[in-house]
Amino acid sequence: MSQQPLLMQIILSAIALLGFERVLNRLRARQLGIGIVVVWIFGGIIFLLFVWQPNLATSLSQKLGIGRGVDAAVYVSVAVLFYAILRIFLRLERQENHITTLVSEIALLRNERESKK
Amino acid sequence: MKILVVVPAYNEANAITSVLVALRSNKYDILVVDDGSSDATGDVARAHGVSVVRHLFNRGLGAALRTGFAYAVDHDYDAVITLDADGQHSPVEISRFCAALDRGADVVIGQRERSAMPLIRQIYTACGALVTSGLFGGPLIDSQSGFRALRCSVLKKFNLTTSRMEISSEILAEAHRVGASVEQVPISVKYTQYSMSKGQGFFEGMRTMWRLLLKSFS
Repeated sequence: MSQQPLLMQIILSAIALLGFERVLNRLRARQLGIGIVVVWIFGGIIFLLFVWQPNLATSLSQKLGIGRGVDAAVYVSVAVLFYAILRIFLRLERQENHITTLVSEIALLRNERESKK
Repeated sequence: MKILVVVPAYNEANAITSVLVALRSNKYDILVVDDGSSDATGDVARAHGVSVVRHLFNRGLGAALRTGFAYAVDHDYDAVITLDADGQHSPVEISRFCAALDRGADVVIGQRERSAMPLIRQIYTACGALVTSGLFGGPLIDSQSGFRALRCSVLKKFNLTTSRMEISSEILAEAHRVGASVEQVPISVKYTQYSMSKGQGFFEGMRTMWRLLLKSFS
């Protein structure tokens, strides 16, 4: 007898399918390149695999010495979030630098214009 | 040697007069970089007959210094000397920086007398030196001192990207990167209630450290 799917598995699958739809729509609208779409789809398939085969995640995490699959998922999520935040901060710093360069250039140009008067 | 004295200023209308009066007794050209002040800093400076460059809005100490450096390079100066607009540095001591430049130094940092510093400033100074040296290499130097001289030929090789207080450390990091010779000269600093209120506090120090960490990543 096959096991009944858990409510959480259905919800997570629905989220993944909505994600697939969004990525494919953006591909059709040429807002995303094929390379990044393949990465998203591949990530989504791995995600669905772990949702429907939780033992796979558990055995993988035990090989890594973590214990439960859900623990591994939390650790990976934290690492990914840290990396994402770092990237955002670095991008913000670059934007700050660009704004400073603009402000500085404008100030020097205005000074030059005034000194010519 | 053609030298430009750069005075970064933000809302210093009350303090900058004494600095400019003291500076004008020297023979050097003076540039005040008004970093988007909401008071009459720029007008006060202009009334003293010095060059003024004004930022559209406030961008921080690093931005003001970068503007001053760009001005010096564009106008073919040989060296830049920077000092604070709040009156804590003594313009008379500029001669020490010129002597160090004449000896061949590329970057000259004013080393503040530690015993004259309030305890909290001593701690900040030690932390600043440790963090700067730890992240970017180079010797332990009074990295947060605002009284410094830089040769323009070396400035052209710098890639300064920060906008706020962390520029002081970034200057030393860049000097280390391009292999510039760095010398320290002793300076006196007048710590007043006003100058203490304008300097780096604990939280600004933390922000500076965070930005330096990001800079070391990028």
